[in-house]
Amino acid sequence: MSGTMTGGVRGAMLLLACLCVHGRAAAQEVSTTRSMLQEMIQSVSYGVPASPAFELLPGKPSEVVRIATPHDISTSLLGLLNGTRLRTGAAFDIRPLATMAGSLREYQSGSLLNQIAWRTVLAVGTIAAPDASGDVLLSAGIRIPLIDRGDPRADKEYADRLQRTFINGLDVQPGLNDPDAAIDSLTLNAAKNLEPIREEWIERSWNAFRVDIGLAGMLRSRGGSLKADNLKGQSLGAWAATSFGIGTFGEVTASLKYTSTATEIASQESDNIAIGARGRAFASGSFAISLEGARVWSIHDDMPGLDEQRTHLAALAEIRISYIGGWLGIGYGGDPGRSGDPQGKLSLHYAIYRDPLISK
Amino acid sequence: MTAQAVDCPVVNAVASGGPIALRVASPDFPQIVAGRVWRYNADMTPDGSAGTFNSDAPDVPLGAPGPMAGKYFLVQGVVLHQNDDPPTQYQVVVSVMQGENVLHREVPAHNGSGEIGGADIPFTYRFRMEAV
Repeated sequence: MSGTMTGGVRGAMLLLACLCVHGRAAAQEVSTTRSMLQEMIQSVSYGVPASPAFELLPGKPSEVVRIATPHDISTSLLGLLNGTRLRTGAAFDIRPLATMAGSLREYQSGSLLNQIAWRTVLAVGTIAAPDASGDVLLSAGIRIPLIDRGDPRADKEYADRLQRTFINGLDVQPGLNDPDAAIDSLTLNAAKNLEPIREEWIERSWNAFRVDIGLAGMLRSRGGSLKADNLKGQSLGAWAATSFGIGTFGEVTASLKYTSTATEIASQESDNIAIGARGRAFASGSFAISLEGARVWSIHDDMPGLDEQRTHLAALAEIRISYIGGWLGIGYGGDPGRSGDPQGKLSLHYAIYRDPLISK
Repeated sequence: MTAQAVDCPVVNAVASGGPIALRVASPDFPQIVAGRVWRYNADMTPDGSAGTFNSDAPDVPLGAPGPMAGKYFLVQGVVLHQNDDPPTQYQVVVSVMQGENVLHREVPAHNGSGEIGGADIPFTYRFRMEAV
């Protein structure tokens, strides 16, 4: 064991000892589980969901069919139906405007609309209503990445480098009668040379400037029927987010979210608005820090007395401990001022775990 | 076109016409396509590289029709993935041209079209040239 490692372990142990002393002194404010740290930094989401449609559904569909070709679209649309009724548990996502993007040259030199068309993803999903009424919830949503400076296709220099490196690796002439599988093997062997270039690209572009928006709507279908008088609007959602880098080590994300739900129970939330920002930074693969703050409004149309405004704050630092092959996470945060909630005050949490919570 | 010892199309060029070029491209989708075209003698022995293609320079000059008569060509290419999620559609189109005339156009049967997500997709295409 190196002296540095020994010092690191000693430092971590000392830190843990201090935390334990603090924990005994204020037992109700300290927890030692990874899940508490996770809850602290995931209770408010920042950014636009990958599939806004599934964000509105009470449970995410277990299997999402990824559709690429027009032929698959019609097949999947039919897959949503069971006769004349909606099937539950069906879900797919697709790039509906992909054919507008054109060739790579047009994509790189054309208007921004080419790129937006290519990156836009539409998702549709169904799920059984959780109240066991036999109703089906049908959700559809779209995610539109308006700006993505981390789009590898749009970077001509990167594409040129990939192509040049790949071609240079094709240096063995196959036999004309060689099976396709044998030639494929030579081809993929040449493509292995691209991995360092791709890794370098990810390292350089993970925190590139991005602007995304997402929209989704959900219908409730009585008994799964598609007749107009059996369909009722259930929820709407809108998301907007932007992120930008701080050097190559950090990223800041700011987001706005609005959801509205038609509810027949007065005490249930009808609208939710969240605005917030999060910053993350990484150092040498062994230290990461996340800072976030958000303001959340919970609105009840029929019972304004239940309306709530809360502020969410959280800070988490993670230190890699090589000796045990895991991470020490120390977090401080909560929703100060939120009454009747265990997270209603700022509190300290720490834990040692295997997989880091903060990731790029 | 007739089938030969190698099961591939035969492309007939006009013997007195201009030079032949091969274009390998993804005209409808922004995919990165690159590779090399290999040349073979009429007895199928290797005759070296005829040239390379990529998304920026999709044309490979093959030369005048006369010297090419009876030669075979093998396109060894790849569609390079960009970690698309959900996967995206791709289609590679191979065109043999004499000047502005397209003598033959085809989507390679082996992996010439489909969807691409997080893995590179290799494709191959063979043809034989004749001058008439």
